[in-house]
Amino acid sequence: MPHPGSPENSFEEQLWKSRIQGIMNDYENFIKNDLPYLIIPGKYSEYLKKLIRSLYEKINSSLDAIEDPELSSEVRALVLSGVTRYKISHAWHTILDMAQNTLDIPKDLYFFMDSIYERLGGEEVPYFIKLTLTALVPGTLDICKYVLRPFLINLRQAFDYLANKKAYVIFTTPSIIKNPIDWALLIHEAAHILEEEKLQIVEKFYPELQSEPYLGGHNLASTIMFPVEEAMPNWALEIACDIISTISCGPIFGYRLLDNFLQEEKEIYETHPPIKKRLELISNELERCGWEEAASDIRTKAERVPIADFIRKVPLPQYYMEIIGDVREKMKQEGIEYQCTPELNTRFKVISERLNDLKPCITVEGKSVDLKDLLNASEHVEDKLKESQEFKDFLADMIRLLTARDLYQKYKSTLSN
Amino acid sequence: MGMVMESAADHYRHLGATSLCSGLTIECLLSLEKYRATRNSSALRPTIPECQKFIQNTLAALKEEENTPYSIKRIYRELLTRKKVNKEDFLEGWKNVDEVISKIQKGEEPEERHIILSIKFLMKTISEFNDISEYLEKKLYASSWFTRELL
Repeated sequence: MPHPGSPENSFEEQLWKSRIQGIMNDYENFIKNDLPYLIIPGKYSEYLKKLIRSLYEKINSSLDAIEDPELSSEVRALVLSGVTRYKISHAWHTILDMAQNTLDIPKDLYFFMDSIYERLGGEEVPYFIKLTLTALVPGTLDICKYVLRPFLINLRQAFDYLANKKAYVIFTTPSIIKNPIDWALLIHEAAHILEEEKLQIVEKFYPELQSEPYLGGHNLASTIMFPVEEAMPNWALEIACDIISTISCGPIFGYRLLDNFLQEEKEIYETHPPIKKRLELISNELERCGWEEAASDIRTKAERVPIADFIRKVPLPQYYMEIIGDVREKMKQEGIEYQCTPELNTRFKVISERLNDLKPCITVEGKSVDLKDLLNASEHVEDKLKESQEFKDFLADMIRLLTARDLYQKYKSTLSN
Repeated sequence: MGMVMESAADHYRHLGATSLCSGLTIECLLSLEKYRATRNSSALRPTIPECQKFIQNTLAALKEEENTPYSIKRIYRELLTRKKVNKEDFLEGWKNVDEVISKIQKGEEPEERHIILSIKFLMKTISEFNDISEYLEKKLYASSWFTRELL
């Protein structure tokens, strides 16, 4: 090991310094030449652009801290390489990825998500929808807290700047984006944001889900074997979000989950409970909310898929009943339960008949159609039609019109107040 | 093979947690290396309390104690399994780093040998974390839409 405080700048050190400069030049050029012209949909577009610009300034002004001349050249080179390759480079590519892969999201999907999140009683929180090809299931996380901040811990000004920033990213897949009936799957993602930002029910039972200090309990084991009890906090969170989606929006979430993800599972995942166990809990909740027919339908369809014995025997999280109980109570307090009634069933029939004929469904029998009614009725459309591009386009149009109408009504009521 | 029930969010979260571990290890290294050069306890960086918390969590994870943040447990499990590193070496290395930092904080002078061993251990550990980051990064960006620069 060289003498401490070695003054020489090794070739390696110079190399990494020039790489940092290269990355920062790319970042700066992106801000100057591309960012102003990116049309990122959603109401937080400008927020994201500002975050990207400010973060550049903060990273730039933090760089001196890792170039202490009193350190040995060997350590300086190691720190520079680590910080460059695994921190600044990761942060820069994540930012670029966020900016680029949020572009092709239909703005209707943002209207849909805004509407759903508002119905759940969520407070304003910046979020973005991002396309991903690397995973088949949607997911959500606050990119500032869980990704950018950990990357930038050695660049203190950037790290501190992100302390009070939020930017939830909802990762979704091309197949979900293309099929508006599957947008119902994203209700569960809105529930994740609601749970983390407002309800915080699950972390009462599983404190390890809280950031500690920013090492949350969440994680995935990948191909490494893990003790099943370590999966329980994640599973509890997923169950809570399934129940929030079901209580607030009815059977459509369960149906879409079944349609997209029911399969004979060969292994258990740390991130999500087995799909059949989720569908069972969703069916129970639907039954409680009066959706007996849908509950029985989902149960019957789920039973057709075999389940391995070792998966059947896997326990559910210890506190799952308490968590479900708290979710129910909270949803009741907030008045966002979506209960089945005979009138609603009749209404679904009328709406689905109109959908089968591709007839507009903004107002039916003199009453405004609610987004939840439209989604649930669309599940009853004939299977062949449901798969057709015409129907998918038509449903997207209906969702746009309903959300535009709701926005207009909200605007009018704000004016009158 | 069936559908893998892991989202991109899970992969990002894991990469973030691994990066945080290597970042805190870098902070430990910067503090100890600076102390080695100056022999002044003010060389310890302001991040030292976070580093100590991280070291405590790491030791607890390696000893497989309960109530350890799962993220650290998993990262170490990944290191031990994928990289076949020796758990005892890690335990001893982190204990040594912890003791050296504690002595400096108390105004005592740790043995030079212990400081050097700690610095070497931290340098090796940073590389191990970086290898895990690289593996996760490849997994995350396996089919990304843009051509990702690989340094």
